[in-house]
Amino acid sequence: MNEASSAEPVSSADAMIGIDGLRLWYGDHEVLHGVSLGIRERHVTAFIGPSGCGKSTLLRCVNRMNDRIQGCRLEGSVMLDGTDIYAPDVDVVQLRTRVGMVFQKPNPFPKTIYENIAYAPRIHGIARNGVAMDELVENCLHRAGLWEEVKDKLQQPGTALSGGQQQRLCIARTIAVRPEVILMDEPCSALDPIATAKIEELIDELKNEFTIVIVTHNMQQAARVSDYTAFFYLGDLIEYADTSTIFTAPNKTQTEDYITGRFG
Amino acid sequence: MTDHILHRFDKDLEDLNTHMERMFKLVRKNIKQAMEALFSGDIALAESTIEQDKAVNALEVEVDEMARQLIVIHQPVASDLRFVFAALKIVTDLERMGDLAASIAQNVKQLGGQVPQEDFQLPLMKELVIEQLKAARNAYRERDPVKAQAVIERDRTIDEIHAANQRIMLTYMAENPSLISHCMAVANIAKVIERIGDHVTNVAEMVIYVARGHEVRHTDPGRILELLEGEDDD
Ligand SMILES: Nc1ncnc2c1ncn2[C@@H]1O[C@H](COP(=O)(O)OP(=O)(O)OP(=O)(O)O)[C@@H](O)[C@H]1O
Ligand SMILES: [Mg+2]
Repeated sequence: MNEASSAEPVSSADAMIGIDGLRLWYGDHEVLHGVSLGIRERHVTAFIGPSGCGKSTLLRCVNRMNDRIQGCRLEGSVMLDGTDIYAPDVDVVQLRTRVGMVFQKPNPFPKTIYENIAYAPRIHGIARNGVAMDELVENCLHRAGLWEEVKDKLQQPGTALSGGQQQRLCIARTIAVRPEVILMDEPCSALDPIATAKIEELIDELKNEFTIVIVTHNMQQAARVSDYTAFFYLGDLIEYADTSTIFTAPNKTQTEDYITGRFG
Repeated sequence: MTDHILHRFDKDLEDLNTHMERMFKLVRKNIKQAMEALFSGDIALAESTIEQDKAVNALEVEVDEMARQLIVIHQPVASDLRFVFAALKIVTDLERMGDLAASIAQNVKQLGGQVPQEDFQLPLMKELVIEQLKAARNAYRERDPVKAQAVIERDRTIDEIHAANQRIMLTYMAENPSLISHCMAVANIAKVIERIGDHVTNVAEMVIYVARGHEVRHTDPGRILELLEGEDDD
């Protein structure tokens, strides 16, 4: 179509995450058929596509969440800042502090709000207890836009918060270990429109500091929050471009059919 | 274009389209009628043309409202978004063309039944602009960017005839000072036809936007053709 959309939207020099020729099998079932794309630092990239096309699978490859799944095997490479995250010497626990994840269903630990944030930094030695930890907790809750709502009840259980608050607590928990990348798999699908709007605003803030990849079934959300959008279908990357191009003038008929609701 | 899963969406798009078609037809009729009134000096016909412009204005308001509703309810994207956006632009141009037809009819009334003594190629300009409007409507119907580009290209012809005309008219007025006011009225009408041609061009530009997503306003027609030829994959 126009010059921009046929070229790669993110050059390999700009890519913080470089996925190359990625194929993935669950047992005999190949669910990703050689996916290649670069994800840009401090930008928001959205993965969209019909159910089962492999969005979550691909997202989980970026912090090796698939490793635990029986019969899961992959080929190709995923580079983070120039290093292969599947290299034998990579410490997966360390990797997951660099690449955090927020899930569809908010999953706070069954602990206090304070402990939800403090737990991982303590383990990783990012902060000790005391003033430093208090500051870290407050800072993360601030950046997750939750401080004002919870500052008087830090000792209450995180699970007692509303769904939207729980999701922001999970985001606060994720940023507490100072990741470089935040992966979000349908982070708003269990939230009402107001809670969703708050998360979207938060994403907009967080991209100044973090590289964000979000999976969403909500087309308007992808259009609102992301800078780049990748459309997947049956395990293939069909089109990857600037979000505005995807939503105003996509290049591929399949993308057009999907986002305009003509799929089937 | 395949159907949406939501039939309501298709129905709303179709309704919008039907209104656009009606407006194209009415505007074309009014331009033709205004010019007929001019050539025959028929003041009653001129008056009815002015009256009919109200229907064009009403259609514009209706299309605006339909487009607003469609955006709110269906939140269109991609080609649907381009269509709704272009529809809003196109109806503005059609409405302006309607105004210009009414303005020709006003001039006819001022001429008070006098027909142009020298036609200064007005019949030719009229034929061309009516053809252009028809071609633009076909390009719109078929979402055909190549046909739309041809419309943009041909607008030059109208511009050239108009420019040549103006020079001839000046000489004519210098030689026949008694006909100056008459000539001025005719010159006005020629100018109006030329402007209608420009609005037709705007419509054609929006057809290319709908079909391909290219923004081609203020782009040379040759360059537009290159752009379209560089992508015959779909
Ligand atoms: N643990 C697993 N074991 C076996 N097959 C799996 C597993 N997880 C996913 N799959 C299969 O892999 C394919 C891709 O699934 P994935 O969850 O990545 O899709 P998705 O695009 O995220 O879909 P959704 O939009 O429904 O979340 C599907 O066919 C799915 O059934
Ligand atoms: Mg999924």
